[in-house]
Amino acid sequence: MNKRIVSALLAAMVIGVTAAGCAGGGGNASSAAPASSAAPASSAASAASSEAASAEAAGAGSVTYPLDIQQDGVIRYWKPVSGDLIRKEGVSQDNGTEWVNGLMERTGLQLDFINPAVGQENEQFNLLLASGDLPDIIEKAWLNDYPSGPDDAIKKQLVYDMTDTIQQWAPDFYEYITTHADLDKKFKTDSGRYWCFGFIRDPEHPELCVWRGPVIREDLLTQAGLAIPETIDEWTAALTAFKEMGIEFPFSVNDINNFLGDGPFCAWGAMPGIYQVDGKCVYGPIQDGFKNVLQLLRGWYADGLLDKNFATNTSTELNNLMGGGRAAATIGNTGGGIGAWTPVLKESVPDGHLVAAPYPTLNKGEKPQFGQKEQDFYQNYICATVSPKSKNLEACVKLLNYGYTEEGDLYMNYGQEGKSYDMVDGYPKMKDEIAKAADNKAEWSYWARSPYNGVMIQRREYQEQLLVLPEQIEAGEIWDNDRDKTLLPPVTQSVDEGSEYSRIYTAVDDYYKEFAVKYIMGQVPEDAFENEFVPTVQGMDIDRALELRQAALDRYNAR
Amino acid sequence: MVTKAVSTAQKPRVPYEQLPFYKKIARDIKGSPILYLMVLPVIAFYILFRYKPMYGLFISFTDYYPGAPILDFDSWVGFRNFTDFFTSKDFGRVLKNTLTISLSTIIFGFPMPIIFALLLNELKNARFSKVMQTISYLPHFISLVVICGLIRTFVGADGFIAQIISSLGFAEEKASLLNYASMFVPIYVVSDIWQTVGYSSIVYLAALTGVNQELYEAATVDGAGRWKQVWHVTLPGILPTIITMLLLRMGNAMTVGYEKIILLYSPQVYETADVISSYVYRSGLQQARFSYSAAVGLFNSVINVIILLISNKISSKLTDTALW
Repeated sequence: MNKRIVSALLAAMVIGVTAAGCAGGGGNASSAAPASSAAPASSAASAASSEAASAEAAGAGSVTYPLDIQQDGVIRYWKPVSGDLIRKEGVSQDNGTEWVNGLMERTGLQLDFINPAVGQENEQFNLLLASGDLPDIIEKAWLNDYPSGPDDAIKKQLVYDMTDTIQQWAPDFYEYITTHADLDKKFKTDSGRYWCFGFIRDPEHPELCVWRGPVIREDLLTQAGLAIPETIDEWTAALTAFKEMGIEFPFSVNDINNFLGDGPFCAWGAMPGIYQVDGKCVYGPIQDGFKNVLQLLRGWYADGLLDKNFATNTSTELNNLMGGGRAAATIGNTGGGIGAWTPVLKESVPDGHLVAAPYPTLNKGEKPQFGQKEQDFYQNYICATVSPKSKNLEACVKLLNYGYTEEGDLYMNYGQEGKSYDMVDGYPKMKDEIAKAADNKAEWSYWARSPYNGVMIQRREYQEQLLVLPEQIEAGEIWDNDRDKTLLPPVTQSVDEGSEYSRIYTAVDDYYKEFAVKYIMGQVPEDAFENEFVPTVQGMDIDRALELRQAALDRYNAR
Repeated sequence: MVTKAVSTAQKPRVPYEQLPFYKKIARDIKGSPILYLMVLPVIAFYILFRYKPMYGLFISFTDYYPGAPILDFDSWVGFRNFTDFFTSKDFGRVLKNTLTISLSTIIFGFPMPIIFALLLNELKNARFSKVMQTISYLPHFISLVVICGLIRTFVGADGFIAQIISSLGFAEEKASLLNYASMFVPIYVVSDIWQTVGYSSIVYLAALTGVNQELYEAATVDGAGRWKQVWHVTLPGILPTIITMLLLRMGNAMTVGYEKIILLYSPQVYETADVISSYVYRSGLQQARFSYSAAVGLFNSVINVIILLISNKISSKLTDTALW
């Protein structure tokens, strides 16, 4: 009986939330929708239950903002500053930005944001945990950066275990993740504890999860009489043509790990890192298929198709190469890549035209197995956690819940109505001075958190308005691939597993990165892959690391 | 005043040398309290920032995790972190690189400020010499991050140094010199000289002013030319300073600061660029293996102490100049 009421209620909420999410249609989707759709759903469940249901809802807790809470001192909120935000002139930290001021006003809390130095986030995060003096809230990719996992962090009093209070203090977040079954699994630890809030990309819109891929100069392809390359061979042909046309760096990248990390050009069934194939964890770089990738790049390097500085280029250098037309192809983002380079390129090469190209495969028409594609919530996304020693536990949890309320959803995505956006027929329309600004991502970050890893659900309307060039909007579809099927979900490990795993894997990964670069640059012989690299990695006990990952994956699947 | 006079009259004063240590100190303090007051902050600094943190070395024998107490006997692992390091494939490499980089900076870098100071000393035009000094100090006062940014640009694909080197045929065109493992040590050493030559020469310039001018006159009377004067008067005059500086430098022979390394290196040059301190930085702060990197750091310090003791011994045997 009780269960049915709850499920009916939840069903109603889903409808409400999705209605708010896909607010494309007519009518005002903001506040009226859930109330009206809740009524028929619960009456269908049972005639007598509607009163019980509302009583239940009150019991499960509902939070109204601004909060009516006596705050004990200012809430210290540690988070890395967004790289987009600090591109805005005169802004170097979160404190003082509109999104922070507005958040304080709307939640009624006094917040102080502590931003670690840019580029030092991991080091400072580790030092912060070691110092024992924890701020009230920490926002970091815990699943990635805290090797022994959340259960361990709870045990060590680094993270507040909110299992008992989540329904009361964070009802909106709880409701959202429990109505999306997969998300619930992702936000729990192996032992079923709730411990963090996180950045979620609207599960209804998987295209939000694809934002990086191969970028190529279409105008040069046309000059050479070529179509946009789809296979590995076509890529080699295109780059060779660029070289003959006198392009200095036919293909350039800045960060070898970002570049290879997504598995572009990994068309032979293996890519870097540990991932799952048919439920089994594998380490890609020691598979035979990976040698082909390295050989391809080695050949490109030798023929001058790959920028000789691919391993040392900084992002600024890559920006200059792409914007100046000196490099003709790379791996880039929709926003910071195509979006940022195109206007600069047009200045030096008026008919320069950057487009997205699909992740190349061996044969035409195949769907690429690897590439950049994330899950709605996963390992690399931020998790916001509360310190168990905080004097403002309740206020902190309620603050983090705000992004998942209807009001907070709009706020986190678009900022303040009337100031940064207007509701036009139920569509949150960003003001032109933000959406149409030259660096609209930076402007947007000043008002809201949708551009970068917020404690919220990223909505489609954000993407639609952020991307101004048609090339950017197409990119998401062009780059589509099957990576999400091999990507490990956010698995967690115990302390001992974590420290053993990281001891093995960090050494292996360090070695892999070094070897890959040296192999591509031709500094080691061709057969070093099977004679030196594979045996060394196996000697470093990679099998044990895989065993540990497998155990974690099995536990995740059993959640 | 009166009582004091009486008491000293009653007890005959024991000669200073025969007093036990604590009484010596007590008498010293009575004699010059202001001097001791002045040294207090220095002692406090050493205790607080040099000795107190040492107990943290305890974690190199445990399996430390963030948030745990430092003195946690439950997670005691003995020498496991050390054996992990000695058996890891990086051990030989970081040791070799640390020594190579450090010794090359000593061999090529140590004489430079001395030569520079001697040259400045020979300059007749005081104004010109002042200008030269100031110019040579400048890199010392620029943040290391900026310095490394400059170095990256100079040796980068479009940098003037890279272009000179590649036009001579030593490197490929349009490639940063930092891509080549063989180039890393030269880049490091030469830029190190550029950074430090001016500032390090100050101490030698000071020592030069202390050389007795009459010796020069005597040498001139004996018919010694400029070169002979430098060789027989100036150098012996500043030799104690040189030896002391060299000893201090040798004590750090196994220390290569991580800052400059991590600002310049990348995986493909780890082979020649990865040193102990950068390895500690990577494994400790980036990969969060605190205990392991503490063990590596401790190993490094122990070796440094041993080298310092040895070189001090050698120096006191050979030149009668020693730190203690």
